[in-house]
Amino acid sequence: MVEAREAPSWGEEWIEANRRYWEAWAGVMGQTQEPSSNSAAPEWAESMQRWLRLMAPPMPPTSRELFNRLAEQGKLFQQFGEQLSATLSQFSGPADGGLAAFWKLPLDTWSRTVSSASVFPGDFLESHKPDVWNQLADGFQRDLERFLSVPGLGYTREAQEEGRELIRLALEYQRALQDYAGTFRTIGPETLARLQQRLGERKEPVTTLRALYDLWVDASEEVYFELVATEEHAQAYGRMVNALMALKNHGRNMVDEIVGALGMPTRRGLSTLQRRQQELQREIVALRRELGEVRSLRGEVAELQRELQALRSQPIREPPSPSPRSKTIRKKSKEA
Amino acid sequence: MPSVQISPERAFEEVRDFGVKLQRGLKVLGELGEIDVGATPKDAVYQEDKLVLYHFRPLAKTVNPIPVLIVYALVNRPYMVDLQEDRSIVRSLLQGGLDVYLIDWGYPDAADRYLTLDDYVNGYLDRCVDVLCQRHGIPAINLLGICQGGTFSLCYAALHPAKVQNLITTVTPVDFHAGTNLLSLWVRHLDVDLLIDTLGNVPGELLNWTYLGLKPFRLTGQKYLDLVNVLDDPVQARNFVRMEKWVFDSPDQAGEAFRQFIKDFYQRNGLIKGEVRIGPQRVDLRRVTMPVLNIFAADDHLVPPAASRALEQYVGTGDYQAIEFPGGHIGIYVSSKSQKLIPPAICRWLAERV
Repeated sequence: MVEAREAPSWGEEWIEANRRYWEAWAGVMGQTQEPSSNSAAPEWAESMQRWLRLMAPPMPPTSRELFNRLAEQGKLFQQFGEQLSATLSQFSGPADGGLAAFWKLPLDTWSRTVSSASVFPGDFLESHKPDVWNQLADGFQRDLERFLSVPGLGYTREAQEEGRELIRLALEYQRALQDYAGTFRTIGPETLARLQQRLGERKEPVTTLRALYDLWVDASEEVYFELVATEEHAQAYGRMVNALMALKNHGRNMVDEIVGALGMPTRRGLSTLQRRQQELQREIVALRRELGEVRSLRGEVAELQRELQALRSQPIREPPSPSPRSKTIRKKSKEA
Repeated sequence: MPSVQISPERAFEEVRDFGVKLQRGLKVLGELGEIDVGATPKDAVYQEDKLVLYHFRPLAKTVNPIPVLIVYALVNRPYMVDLQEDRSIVRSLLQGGLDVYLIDWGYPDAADRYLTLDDYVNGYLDRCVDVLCQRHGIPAINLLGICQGGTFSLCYAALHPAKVQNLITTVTPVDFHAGTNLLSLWVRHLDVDLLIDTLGNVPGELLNWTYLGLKPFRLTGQKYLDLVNVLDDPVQARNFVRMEKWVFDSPDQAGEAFRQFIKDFYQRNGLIKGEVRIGPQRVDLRRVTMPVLNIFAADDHLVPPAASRALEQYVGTGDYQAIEFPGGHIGIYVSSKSQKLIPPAICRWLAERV
């Protein structure tokens, strides 16, 4: 019987590809030539992806998510090293410039995070620069707005108007999103300038990639904070979120109209039910509390009735004459 | 002298080493398995809707007869106070002789969309306090509020002062416009009514995204590169993943409560102005007449120290103390430094006020 071949330890394939990649790169480095994204790189990247896919399934969700984040950061850092080394090989001087692609990396990570919360993919923004948008506004948008201002006609008048309102809100959101994204436009060059400033202030030179990366993060956070802590940014953020909510709200109302017409439960109806259910729950809690108090009072009344019954069953006696002590007390209390 | 002196060979070596560490680390990560949270044994003593009131089993002789009720925020999950054995503020409080209870608000869903602050403060919280009072045969308890839970505790103490013997607030926003408060600034121009009418409940993911936006470069990049250096140690890797689990474990927010909290507290800054109404009553901080211990973090990026420090000006108590912890918003509960400083300080302070 042929023994089942033992599966290669996970990661083995990736390690091997990684090794070949680095060896290829080291060879290029040794000749002090520009290390290109050579033929080994795609293989390495592809191998890593395969490896990631291979090992991701058995992991619990938290670890898998972290795993993905780490792998992503690892790739970015390796790109950092590759690009920095390429620059160093070319110029053999300080790496204060020529790394524009890397400088964008942390921001790219953040952009992806931001875009995940948007209704549109992050790349959607990339293709619409504000100046391009402004040009559009001069032509296409003006025509579109003219079209949108035409009153609805006929039996479907209401539906036409709702559809136009949806387009108008989408345009408004797009504009607000562009404005918001525009507030980040200067962050890259400003961060680079801040990094250069920080490097200039140092007494000791930076000798490791990691130290340079940390300086870059510090500079990025500083510049970012200065930007987002402004009233201008807060207003742009508010406009963007409000425009998005207005768009979503209108869209949902339109969907409600359709599903309502089909005799299906609507969001509006469900919301009414939820509100009433909560109000009823509050009333039940209040009633329970009152019921508890009533029960407690009933118990007290029953106790008092028992005491009264006991008192009634006792023979009536003459009240005792007041003692000298109680007289003194009364006198004291009067004085007080 | 050039400001950067990294030779190509050195850069290459560093990136190669990083790749090796990353590979090893990812292997460790793949073998971690399920991550447990909550280290201290506890029993559910009261449940209502999604709320669970837990009582932690004592770890030492209880020396303080007044139990402590920990009121956590609605955002994130309360197991942060008992994350793991050596990072558990609960454990340290128990070892200090306190009897500790904790409210877990649960994960609100669409059916909870109309829960209001009145439901949370005068409803759930008040009934939990009643449970403790009945169990211990006492008229008042000690409240320990965390972040937004601290704000809730303040409101509760102002509305029901007879039921709170001592109040401890930790990293609690009071003046929502004090200091450089990014969260406060960002929500200033939001149409919160439209937001809630549209979304219903506020997704936890949206909150995660907002928090990441406070320090995006550190929180989405640098943090993970730091991790690579320690990831080959399974214990440290497990600790990191546990923390990561907590960070991204964000329940949705009940719409109505969120609406009121953002409008009245963040936008109008109504708490310090005495303009917040919870249910039929106005919250007047001058009615907070019991002893108050206010603990805040010097490097808090979520609740600036100034936002917490302001409390002293507004409460009616004559017995007020503040502790400024040298750390951040989360470090105040989970760092090893905090374990040595915060719980002993709380135990001492409460012992002096039995």
